[in-house]
Amino acid sequence: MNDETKIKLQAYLDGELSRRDARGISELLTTDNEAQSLLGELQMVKSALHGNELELKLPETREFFWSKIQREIERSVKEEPTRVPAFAWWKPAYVRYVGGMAAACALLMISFIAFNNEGPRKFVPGEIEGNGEMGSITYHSNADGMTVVYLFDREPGKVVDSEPN
Amino acid sequence: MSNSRISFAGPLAWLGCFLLMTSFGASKLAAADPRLEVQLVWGTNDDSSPDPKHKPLEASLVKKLGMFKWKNYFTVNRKDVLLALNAAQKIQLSPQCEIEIKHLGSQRYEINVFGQKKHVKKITEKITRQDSLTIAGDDKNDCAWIILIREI
Repeated sequence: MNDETKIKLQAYLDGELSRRDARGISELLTTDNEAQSLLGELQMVKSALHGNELELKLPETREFFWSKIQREIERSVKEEPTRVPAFAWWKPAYVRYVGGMAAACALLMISFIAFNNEGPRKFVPGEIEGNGEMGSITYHSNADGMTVVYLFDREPGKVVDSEPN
Repeated sequence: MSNSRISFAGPLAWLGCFLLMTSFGASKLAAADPRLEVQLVWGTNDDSSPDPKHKPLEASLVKKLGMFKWKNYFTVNRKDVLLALNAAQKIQLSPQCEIEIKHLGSQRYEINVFGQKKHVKKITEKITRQDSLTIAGDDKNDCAWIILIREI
């Protein structure tokens, strides 16, 4: 006899089976000795429990007992921390302050750009003065960020001696 | 009461902006005296400098001098100078080469170049962190002297 049949036997004893299943179990009991003995045991246990179970009496009425449980459940629900939305602190009046600060930041950025202009620079050649013996060529490279003044002697073969030694 | 406080928020913010901008601008205008780096460089096609004490010029500056024909560049002397406004300062770069720099304001400088104690040229030019000044000339044996001036 398998477990399912055993459970059905118990349900049969408690009167919980459908008519069809109950009929099947009745037929089984007429032929199966094991089923008969199990049913006998179950009946015995049932009757023993039914006759000897202690009756527990509540110190209060049934309604009051359950209402206490209900109140306890409600209290524990209330004590759970409520979730506060991330922007709960925001107030429409803050728009003025935030707007002012945003304007300040924007102006600060503009002034920073204005004072630190790294864009293309217009080269304005400087002045070169000197004696007539020396000529000069001025060259400006925007890419290298460099102005070169190259000095040369107007007299061929003569050099400006700045030898390092 | 709260209404009057809110009505001041806008003007206060603008006042803050104004103070920030003016303080920022003032700090820029009242910048410290400029510090310049002056280098005398020897340009040559030889592999080494005539003076073993000379060090090869830093690569970034060599790259900048790519317009010149010389293959190698050596730092003969290097000096940092702090220039007060309208104060001229003489800088001896080698026994033969001397310059006098004067800060004219607005990042403009007057540079007098001397070769063997003789005045060669007066150059007035703007020098900024972005734009350096290079003064160069031919020398003996197909070499060149180069004075690099940049703000640091």
